[in-house]
Amino acid sequence: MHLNLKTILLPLVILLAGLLILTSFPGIVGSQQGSLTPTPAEDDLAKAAAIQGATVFFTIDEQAGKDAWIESFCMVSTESGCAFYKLGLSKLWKQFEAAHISITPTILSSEKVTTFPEKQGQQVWKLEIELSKPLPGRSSSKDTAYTLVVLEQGTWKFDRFLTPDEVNGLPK
Amino acid sequence: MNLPCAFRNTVFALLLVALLLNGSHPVMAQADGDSPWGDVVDENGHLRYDELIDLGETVEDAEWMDIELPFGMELDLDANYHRYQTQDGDIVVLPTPLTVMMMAMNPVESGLSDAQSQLGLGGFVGAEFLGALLGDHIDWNRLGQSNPDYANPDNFWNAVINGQENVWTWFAGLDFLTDLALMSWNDMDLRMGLLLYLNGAANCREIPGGCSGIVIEQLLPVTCPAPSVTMQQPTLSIRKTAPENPLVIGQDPEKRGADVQVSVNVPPVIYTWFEPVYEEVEVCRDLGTGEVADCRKSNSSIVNDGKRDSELILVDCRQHVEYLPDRVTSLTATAQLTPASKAWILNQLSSAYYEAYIHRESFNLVPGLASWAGGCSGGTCTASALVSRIPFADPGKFDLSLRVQTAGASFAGRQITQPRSLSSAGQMQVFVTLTTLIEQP
Repeated sequence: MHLNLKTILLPLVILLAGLLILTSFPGIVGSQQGSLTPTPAEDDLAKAAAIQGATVFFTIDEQAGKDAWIESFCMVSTESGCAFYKLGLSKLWKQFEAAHISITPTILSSEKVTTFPEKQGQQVWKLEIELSKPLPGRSSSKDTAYTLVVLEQGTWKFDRFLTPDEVNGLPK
Repeated sequence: MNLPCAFRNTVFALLLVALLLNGSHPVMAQADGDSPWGDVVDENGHLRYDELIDLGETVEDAEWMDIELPFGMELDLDANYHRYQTQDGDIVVLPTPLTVMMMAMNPVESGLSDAQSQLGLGGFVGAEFLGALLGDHIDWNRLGQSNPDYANPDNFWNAVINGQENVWTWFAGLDFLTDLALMSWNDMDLRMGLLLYLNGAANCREIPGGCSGIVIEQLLPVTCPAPSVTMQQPTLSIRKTAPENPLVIGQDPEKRGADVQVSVNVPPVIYTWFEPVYEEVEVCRDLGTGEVADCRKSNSSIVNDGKRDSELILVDCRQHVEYLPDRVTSLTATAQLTPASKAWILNQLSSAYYEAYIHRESFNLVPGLASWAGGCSGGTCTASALVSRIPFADPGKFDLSLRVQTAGASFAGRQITQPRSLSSAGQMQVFVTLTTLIEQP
C-alpha cells in the first residue's frame, strides 16, 4: 500500500483539532451525554463540537484538496450540516484554489450565546477566530463566528455557521 | 431574481399551496372556471400531468440563495426547480423545500412578494404553505406575546411574504435549515409548493429557472389548428454491469475492477403542425375604381355589379407530425465513495486492519476513463459509454452520477425547444474480503 499526503493530512487535522480541544477543556472527558438539560459538562461537549467544526472548516490545505476538506468537515458535522455545506463548498473551494492558499485557524475565545428552550439539543456558540493569513480579498484575519451545534444521536456536533440575520434574531 | 416592472405588469405569478408528497397525491388547489390554475390542476386538485409538458429539473445560480459565512465568505447555493409548461405557454415551477425556504427569506429578491401581489389573494395560500414547511420551527409563544395579530399564523406568514416581518427573528431552533438540505436531495420527492408564471415561456428569462428546456414555438393563431409540441421524458441510466461482486483490486490477483454502463435515451420531440391547403376559385368581387362590371355579385343583382376575379380559399389542413431529435451534446459520469463508506474504512476497518486508508475515493468515468458515443435515428437520440475495469481500490458503496446536456429540438431552421440539462444517479458496491482468526476449542 502506498501513502500520499492527503491520506496523512486528513486524519491528522481531525486528530489535532480533537487533541487541542481535549487539552484546552479537560471537563470534556467523562462528561455525561444525551441529557436534555444542559449541564456544565454537556456545555463543554457542545463547545468542543463548535470549536472542532470551525477549526476543520477553516483548515484550508490546497495540497490535500477539496474532497479531503469536505470529507474532514463531514466527519465532525451533523449529517444535515454535511449535506447543506456540500451544496456549496465546491464553488467556495474554487476561490481558495485560484488563490493558491493554505490556512490554519486559531480559536481565540469561545462563549455560549444561547440555548433554545423549546428545541432541546441545540446551542449557539460565539467564537473569535484568527486565521494564519487573510482569506483572498480580505484584509483582516480575525472575525467572529456564531456557530450552531446540535445533539445528534447523543453526540454534540457542529451544524453550521449562523448568518447575520439569524444572529440578530437570537433570543436576548 | 428581480422582476422588472414591465414583466410584473404582464406576468402573473401565483403561489399555490400543495402538499405534493408524490405525484399521486392531490394538491390543495381549486380549479374554478376562470382561474389559470384550470390548465394545471383538475377539479379534484390533481396536477394535469397528461396536459403538461414536463421540462424536468433545472438549477440556477441565484444571489438570494447565498448564505453568508464568517470572514465575508458566501456559500453559493443553487436554486432548484422542477418545471412544467402548459400548452398556453404558462410555466409551473416546483421548487425544492430549501429553495422555497430561501424564497421566503428573500421575498422581494426572489420574486415571491411580486407573485403574491399579482395573485391578489392576500397571501392566503402562500401563508398556508410556509406554515406547513416551517411552522413547527417557530416560537409561537414569543411571537404571540410580541404581536397578538400573529395568534393567527397566516397573518405572520403573510407579513413574511410581504417583507414586513423577518422570519429569522422568530425561530425556536435553528437546525431546520440544514434539515431542508437533506429534504432537497431527491427530485420531486418533497416539492411542496407550486408557482405559476403566466406567459412564462415567452418571458422565460425572467422566471425561476430561466429558459432551460422551455418550448419556444409560439402557438400562433392560424386558420388551421395551432401547432403543438409533445415531449416525452428521457431515460438515463448509470449502473455497474460486471462483475457481479466487484472486489477491491488490492485483493484481486487479476486486478479485474468493475465495469459501469452509462446510457441515455432521448425520445423525439413530437411537433405537430398543419399545412393550409388552398384552392383557387372564381369570385365576383366589388368593383374597383375605373373597372368595368362583368359579373353579378349576388342572385338578387339584376345587372352586372362586380368584377370577375380569382382568390385562394382554405379547403384543407394537412397534418404533419415531425419527430424531432434532441441530440446529446455533452455527457459526464463520475463515481464517488459515499461518506458512510469512508467513515467505515477510516473508523471500523482501520481499527482492525492497521493499513486501511482511502486509496481513491472519486473517479471521473466519462470523460476520463472512457469516452461516450451517441447519435440520433428516427428522432430518438441515444448516447452511451462503457467504462471497463475501473480500478476500485476501496471497499464500500460508490455513488454514481450522470449529467447530460442536449441541444434542443429544431425544425426548418427554427429552434422549437431549448436545450435540456438532465441528470441521473445510481449506486454500486465494491467488496472486500475480511479474514477472522478463530481459536478452535
